[in-house]
Amino acid sequence: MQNPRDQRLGLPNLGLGVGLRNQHFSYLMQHDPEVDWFEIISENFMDNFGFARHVLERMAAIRPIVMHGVSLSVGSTDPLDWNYLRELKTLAEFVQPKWISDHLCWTGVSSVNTHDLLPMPLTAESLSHVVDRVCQIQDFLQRPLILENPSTYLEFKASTLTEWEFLSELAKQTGCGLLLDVNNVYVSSYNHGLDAEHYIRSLPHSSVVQIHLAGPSDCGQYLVDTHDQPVPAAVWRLYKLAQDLTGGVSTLLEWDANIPDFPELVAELKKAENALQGIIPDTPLQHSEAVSNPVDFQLISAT
Amino acid sequence: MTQQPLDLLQLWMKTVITERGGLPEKLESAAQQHGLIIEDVVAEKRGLSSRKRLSIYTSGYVARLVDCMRADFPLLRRFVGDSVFDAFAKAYIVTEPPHSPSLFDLGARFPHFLEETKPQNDEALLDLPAEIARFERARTEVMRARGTENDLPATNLSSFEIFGRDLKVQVTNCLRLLELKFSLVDFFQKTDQDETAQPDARLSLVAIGRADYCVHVKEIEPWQFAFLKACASPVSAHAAGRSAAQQSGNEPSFVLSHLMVWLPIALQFGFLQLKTPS
Repeated sequence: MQNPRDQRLGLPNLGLGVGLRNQHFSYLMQHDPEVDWFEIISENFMDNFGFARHVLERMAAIRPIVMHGVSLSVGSTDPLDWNYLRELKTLAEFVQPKWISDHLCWTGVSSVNTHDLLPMPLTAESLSHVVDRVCQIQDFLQRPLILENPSTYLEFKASTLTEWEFLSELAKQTGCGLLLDVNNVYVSSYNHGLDAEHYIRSLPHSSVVQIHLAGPSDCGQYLVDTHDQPVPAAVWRLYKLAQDLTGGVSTLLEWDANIPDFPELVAELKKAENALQGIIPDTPLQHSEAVSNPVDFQLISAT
Repeated sequence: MTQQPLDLLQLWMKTVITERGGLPEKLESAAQQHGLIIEDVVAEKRGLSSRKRLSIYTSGYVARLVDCMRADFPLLRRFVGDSVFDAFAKAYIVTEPPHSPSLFDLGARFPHFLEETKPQNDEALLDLPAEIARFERARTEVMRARGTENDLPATNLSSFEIFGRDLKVQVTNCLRLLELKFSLVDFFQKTDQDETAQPDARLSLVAIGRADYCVHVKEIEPWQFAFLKACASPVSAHAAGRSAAQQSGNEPSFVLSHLMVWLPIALQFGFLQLKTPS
């Protein structure tokens, strides 16, 4: 059994949470949130001082908030975007989040931002590059950065490390935490013919601070991380394994396209309690046409 | 083992994702620019080809950003239809790939792009897509800008106080003023209520502001437009009224008397804020 102080980098287990999405703002301003905590997409709020900021302020007063980013681009060979980091820090001063997370990925190079979470070549050079940048970011933010394993659809021939080896070494060298997305493990392992359970067993469990749950899409020959449907049984099984190995960490359900009403979202989240008891929901994997890393949750329609 | 530096691999993949054309053209361009071919870069496993794997990223890039443009410009999308709108959006994304970490910035130059790329003839209708986009962009900016919601509530303004030279006003940070070639306010309101509408080709002056997180879109008179422009920095309402009269070709007495009625409304709609206690 791990010493509790060594678990999760000493950060709390916040319980069961969901993403704070604009589709639910009206509901949340009139009802009890019914969840333990919220995760926000940092970029949705950094330059938004309208109603979204007002809702965030209200939710932050009654529930813990975690800031989750999609544009840090920690793996890019472009210089770190210090303007972005300053805005991130300013938002953190406003929100007082429990932690700040992003992805092990790059979003662009040559100043272009594709707004996708692109895969890293998993090499010693990449590791050294990311270690250096994580250290700079942590020094600037004055807190550990929490990094998530992305869903990937291709592997580089140049890669010499597995993703779990890369993440383990990154955590060891920088002291960063890990956001273990068990859906992403499932998607990437399927797409690359890997053993998802072995992936999870091989991580440094004391570095895992948070788990993401989501429903991917079956596109025939491959899976896509669409966040647009209920969590399938195979992902729930990985969730149970991860929670057993980590000793219990914060759980966040991601649902970012075809977003259901808030009560339905909460009902899906609550299935996590059954899964932890070994009662795995028998939800099948479904087909959909949504894109990977959908942006619906980042958009605030003008209508 | 293939040894390719990280920066080269990222440049290659960025080119493949953002370059114009189908996957063959993209790969050809990336090969010419970076000296790498897909067989050297992407591993094949489980019978899924390297091309199919890469295409998940290339198609996702465009689809994701078109989704974003659709959300930012719903009125334009509805007016021109999905296929025309998507063609506009894809051309814009390929021509001006995003640079900002914020998706809010993606559509910032879209109105300008539509204006620059419209067919060059005297047909007024060709100006309409760019004008609708300009209108929608301004409205979105107003929704997200710093407003006056956290300011202390203004005390009720007596109609006669605007004649006091010490009453200072300034436009709010979230106000946007537009000079449009079409009557888009009426068009926007009817379309918003699912009514069929066609904007008239005539000059219209529009103020968009926000109060209590509610966006107010109003077509305004030339003297009102000139008055709000005169209030870019803190100024006495009296002096701004005189300036507006001069700019709009009205008598000062006309503007000042109309301000008695309109100034409280402009404050209520979040167009203006008081800079000194009344």
